[in-house]
Amino acid sequence: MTTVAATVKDKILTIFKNASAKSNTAYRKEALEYLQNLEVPHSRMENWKYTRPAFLTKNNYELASEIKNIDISPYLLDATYYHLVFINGLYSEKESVLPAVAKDILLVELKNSDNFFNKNFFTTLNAAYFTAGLNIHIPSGIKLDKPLQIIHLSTHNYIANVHHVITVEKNAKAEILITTHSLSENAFLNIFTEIECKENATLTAHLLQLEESESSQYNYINCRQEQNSVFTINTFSLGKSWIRNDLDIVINGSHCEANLYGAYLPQNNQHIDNHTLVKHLKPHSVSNELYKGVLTHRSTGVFNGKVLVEKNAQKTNAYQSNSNILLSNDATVYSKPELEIYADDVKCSHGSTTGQIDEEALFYLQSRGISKDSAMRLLVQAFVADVTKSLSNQTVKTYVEEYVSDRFMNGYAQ
Amino acid sequence: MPEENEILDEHLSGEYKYGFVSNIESEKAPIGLSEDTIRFISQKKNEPEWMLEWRLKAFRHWLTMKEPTHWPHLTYPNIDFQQIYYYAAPKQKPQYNSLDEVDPELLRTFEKLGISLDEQKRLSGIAVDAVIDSVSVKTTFREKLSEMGIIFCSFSEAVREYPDLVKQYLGSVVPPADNFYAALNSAVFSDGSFCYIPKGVRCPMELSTYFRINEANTGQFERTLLIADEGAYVSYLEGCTAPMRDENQLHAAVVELVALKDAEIKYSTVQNWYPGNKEGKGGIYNFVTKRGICLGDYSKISWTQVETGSAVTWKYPSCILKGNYSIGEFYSVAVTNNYQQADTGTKMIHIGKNTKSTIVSKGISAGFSNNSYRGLVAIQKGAENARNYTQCDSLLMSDKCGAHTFPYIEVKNKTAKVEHEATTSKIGEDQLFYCNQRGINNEKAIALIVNGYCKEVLNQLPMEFAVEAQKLLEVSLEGSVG
Repeated sequence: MTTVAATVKDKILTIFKNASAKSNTAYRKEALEYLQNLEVPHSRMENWKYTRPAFLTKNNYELASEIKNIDISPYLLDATYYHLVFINGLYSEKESVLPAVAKDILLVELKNSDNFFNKNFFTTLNAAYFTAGLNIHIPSGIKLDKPLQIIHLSTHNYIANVHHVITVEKNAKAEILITTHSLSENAFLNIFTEIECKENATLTAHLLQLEESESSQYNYINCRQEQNSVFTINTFSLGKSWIRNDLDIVINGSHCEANLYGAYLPQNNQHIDNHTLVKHLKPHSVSNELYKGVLTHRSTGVFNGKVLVEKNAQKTNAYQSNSNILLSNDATVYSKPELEIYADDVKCSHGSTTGQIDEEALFYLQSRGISKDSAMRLLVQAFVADVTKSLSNQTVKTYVEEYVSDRFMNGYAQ
Repeated sequence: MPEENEILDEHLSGEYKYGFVSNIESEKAPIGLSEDTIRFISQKKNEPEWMLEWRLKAFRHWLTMKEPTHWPHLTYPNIDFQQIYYYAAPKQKPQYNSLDEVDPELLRTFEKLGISLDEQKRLSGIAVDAVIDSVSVKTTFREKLSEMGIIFCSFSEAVREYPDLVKQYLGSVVPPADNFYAALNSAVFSDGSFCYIPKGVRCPMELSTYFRINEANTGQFERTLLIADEGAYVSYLEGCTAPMRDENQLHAAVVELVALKDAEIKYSTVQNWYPGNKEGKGGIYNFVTKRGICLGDYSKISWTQVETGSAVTWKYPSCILKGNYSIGEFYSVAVTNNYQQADTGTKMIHIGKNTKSTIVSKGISAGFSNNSYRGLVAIQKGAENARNYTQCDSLLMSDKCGAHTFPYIEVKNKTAKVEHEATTSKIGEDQLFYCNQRGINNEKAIALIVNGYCKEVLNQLPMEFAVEAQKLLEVSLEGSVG
């Protein structure tokens, strides 16, 4: 086992030998050294029990060296939105449209800081082979007039290591869409996003994973919330990619609100893993979590949500729920909702259900002349609608709802 | 706890006082664990060759295993497995002449638990023949059981007298290589109980380790094997509510249950090992592997546990639902106080069609303790129409303790229906106020509320046991109000 893991790591390290030689900063070196000591995730790690990054050995990755010219219009959710474009991990300034108020959008600088890489294998990999990233700063009191879409597009067998830093200052408000697309089965997108919501700030983030091909994606989002801030993140995994999402929300102020919504609809042999951690450090905050999955074919869905309430975080309300529908006998669900609570005056609950479409509801619809396929589609749509109904952004809402209805247009897949 | 030391001292000095020193050296295996230790144990127990081989195989496998420390929510100092005595012949308990000589603290607890005077004497080790004619009680039981063809004896006896049954089922539910502690137990188990209920027999009484033929001397590495043949029924009780003190810090027991077609096994446990003192010093490490298999169709295994003792508990009584239409149940109350730590739960593995399982777990944490529920519900691919309902509630009694829930749900069949619910809360101020208003003081009110909270589980216990368990909860949570 150790030899296998070692070869995986060796392979990864040699893949990038040439690329990293180009910009051999001290920081990269440090990350590389750190990487040597880390294990490639395997199933005996509690956090990786159900997810294996087998793709790492399957493909030969390269780092992109020049920005490709590509028409990005098909990937714009709404042409009027601001957008920032990353092609194969490199920032394409030419294609991007920046908001005037947030002019100080800068390329992220590689820096020596603890929280920059030492999270896990993938975040360290990200630091060691960092390609590009943006520092998005919403100044205090500013309300961004239009949503901002950050597009990540992979075209070839590139590994894109992107690192974003998003800061929403005091009393500021913003809406950000992070969309991922891939045209190549051999692409690997590794995104590390650091978010900070200062006092009274409001940030809504939508994570739309729309890979057109069976590529791979690792996503780490770390959000730190200060007093009275509201952070909402909606994760929709609608593409074909192998996905692992790690969300770390740290509630470091009182009267905060954190909302985590998600829907995943894996198909074929797809694997989607959603790990979330909501850490309540201060009293009087609320967190809400709802993830729903519809699984077809031989796909696998993993949900691991953890709510951690520290000693000081009295009067916390935390709610967590995960529901899954299995439409195929070859599909698998692993659900692990966790509560870790050290404060006594709290209200915390979680629930998890897994089952199939309600026979009675199906019968009801069929008895009213609706075909079985249509009835199934309606019920799946209604199931996912529990998540989408909370969306205030109509564009995103329509996009997701249409996707679900189209997906099951030709009957529900076995 | 100073008095624990006193008791230990008493135990030891007691032995000398009465001169039970004969052959102590030869009765004890040398410290540490090696193949020689295992040969020594096996030889001491006059075991056949196959048993020794079985132990050695387990030991060799154990050597390749690592102690599971990364996933349980427990912290304890590393255990040096070479600093443990793996075999000591059952020692003579210190003999007292009357209850006056017994530690008054212990007597007070007995009183609170409502244990009868005779029983108190027996438990605190007063010369047995002075108390009750236990021999005659045992003989009547034994006669009645053997009339019905029920085998209930010590494990060593079973190895000698019923080798075929033992060979067939030993390790069939918990294989020697199953986990670190199961492997250790398989290599060095000292003794335990063996029980076989023949076809179609309904065991007329609650079997319990209490009346086990080989003296109620629970060892450090106990092994229990219980087989219910087709259509049989048995209810088995383990442990007792009385506080159990033991000088061995590490306990690693294995319990295996086998239910054949139409059989039903009800296994109830009350665990009240020494939990350590108020500062968290001392206390038993309880690392138990308990598993039952519903081998035949329409079989049922039901686990009920009330866990109040031990400094560290690591225990997951599980059901493998292999037979079609088989049923698994798990009802648990786990109480932790002071610096106790518990990581306990169950595993329900659905393999057969139309299998059902129910999990009801109630955790109560007080003081500085940590109480975790960790449970697995796995629906295998072929388990058509499997059904699971899980409910785990946690009650927090202080702001220094922790309550955690770690459920693992794995579903591989679309016809499955799996539900999991968990809540964490504290005792409501309004509930307390309501009781106070009616003249019930805080301590009593909490006992009342806690008992109501655990009712679903306590109801599953056999009658007398339930009453004692209820009192045990009160005693365990004493002084945790605040």
